Amino acid sequence: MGGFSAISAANGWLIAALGISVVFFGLLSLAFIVSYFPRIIAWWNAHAKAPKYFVPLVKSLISRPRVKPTSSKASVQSVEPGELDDAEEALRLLTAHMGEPFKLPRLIEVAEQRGLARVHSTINGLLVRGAMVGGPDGLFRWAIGSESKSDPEGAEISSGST
Amino acid sequence: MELLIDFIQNTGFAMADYRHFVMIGVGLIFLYLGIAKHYEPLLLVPIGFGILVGNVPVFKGLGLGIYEKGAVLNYLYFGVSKGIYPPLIFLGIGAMTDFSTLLARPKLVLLGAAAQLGVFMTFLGALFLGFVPSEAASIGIIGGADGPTAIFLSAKLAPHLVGPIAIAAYSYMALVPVIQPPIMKLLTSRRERLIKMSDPREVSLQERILFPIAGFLLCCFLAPAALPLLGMLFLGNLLKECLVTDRLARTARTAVVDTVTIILGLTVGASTQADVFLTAKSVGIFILGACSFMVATAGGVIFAKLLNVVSQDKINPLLGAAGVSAVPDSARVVQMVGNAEDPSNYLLMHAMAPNVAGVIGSAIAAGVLWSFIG
Repeated sequence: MGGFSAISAANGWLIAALGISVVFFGLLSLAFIVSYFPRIIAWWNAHAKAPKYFVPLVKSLISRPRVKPTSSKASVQSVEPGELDDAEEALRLLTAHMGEPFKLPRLIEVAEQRGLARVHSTINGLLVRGAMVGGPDGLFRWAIGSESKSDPEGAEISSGST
Repeated sequence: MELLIDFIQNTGFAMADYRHFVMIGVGLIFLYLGIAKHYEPLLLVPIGFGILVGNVPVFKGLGLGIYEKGAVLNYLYFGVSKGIYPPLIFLGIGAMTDFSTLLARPKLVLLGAAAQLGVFMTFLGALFLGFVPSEAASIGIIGGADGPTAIFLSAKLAPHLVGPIAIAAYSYMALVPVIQPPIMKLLTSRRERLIKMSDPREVSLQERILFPIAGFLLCCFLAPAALPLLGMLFLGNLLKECLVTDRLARTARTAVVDTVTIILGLTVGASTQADVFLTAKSVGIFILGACSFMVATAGGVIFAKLLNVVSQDKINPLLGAAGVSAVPDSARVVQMVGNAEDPSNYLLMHAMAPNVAGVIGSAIAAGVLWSFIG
């Protein structure tokens, strides 16, 4: 069989019309999308830069309570020596219940639950002062003979240690 | 004496008939065109030699012929008959192709679509001549001027016609410098041929990376049957453009594509055994193949002229002829014809946009035909 009847019998007209339409639609869509590439990429680049502004912003928000260092050996925390002694006493009471040696994260958690202010800074100050020492097993204990000594320099923490 | 007579009767000379010599003549022409005329030598030389291989008369049953199970050639032909080689070639093409000009001037993509008119007009023509729909679709795709696509679709729809279709497709692709210029000149005025294209904008690396991903998703969601071809094409291009897989891209565009081209060319050529190839259908395929190239060329050029009617930014209508894929030959022909009118007019770079769009368009057309008829 041949001729126009063969074309009609095989739905040739429809297949040809649909076929060329699909090819045109496909490449037209491709051309359309491609023509928007520069804008899409410009938009992406603009938004991809957002974290660069966002991260410093978040950092500044997080570090807001901290005191700006005034010298190379400036105190990062505003924990006064007297406050540190009081905090040490409070922590000793907590660790008496926990038992020695103790896990530092657990101590921080319990201290925060008890409403102790600036727990991290305080513990850091005690570590620097030497009142609290870490062992090779990763657990901490109080240094012998270090109970509640008042050391004016003890609260000063070098910026590098934080 | 009897032994000697037996031996002589078993030689190719005794078993050959005129058809073998006709096909060997065709193979020699292919070799001549490839070697002496430099028409698509990377394809015509393996195919031409393959025709010689396939047309040495051999005893049936010895496991030598390409259609005999267990034959070495039959194993190699498996990649053709199952459509394995064309996607691998597309991987290499993707790793070679620079889509920058297409990205710089997306309007030219439409010329690649217009040239696919040849595929569907030839499909109708083949139905008109009495081919069954699966054969008509396989013949129509010759108009896509894309050898791997033609082999892929005919392997899926009409495996018995892979040989003639592949030979027709590659022959006409090689003859693009002969077929296209008269049509291009016939359909354009000198004034149109003198139109100069403005320089394309610079394309960023991000665009070049984004294109294969977006192009793949869009085209394959639209015509999923084109997945094996377009998937590999865009993967190859992504390997090239992303810059972090340079080794893979280099392998794809050299070792992989070269190996597959040799095996594909040899086996396609060898599949043209005289008794299979020299039939009335093959003659019809060759006639329709020539028509499809002409219609495809005319479709692209006329559509470019139509675009100039509705668009402020004029384009040289010769670029429409590059919409038939035949990468990069049809783009070279555009450059040649444009350059003949004005030696200072360089169209090659611009012609690559519809040229590579034609590759995508013909793969979509193949996918559409496969999904309709397969």
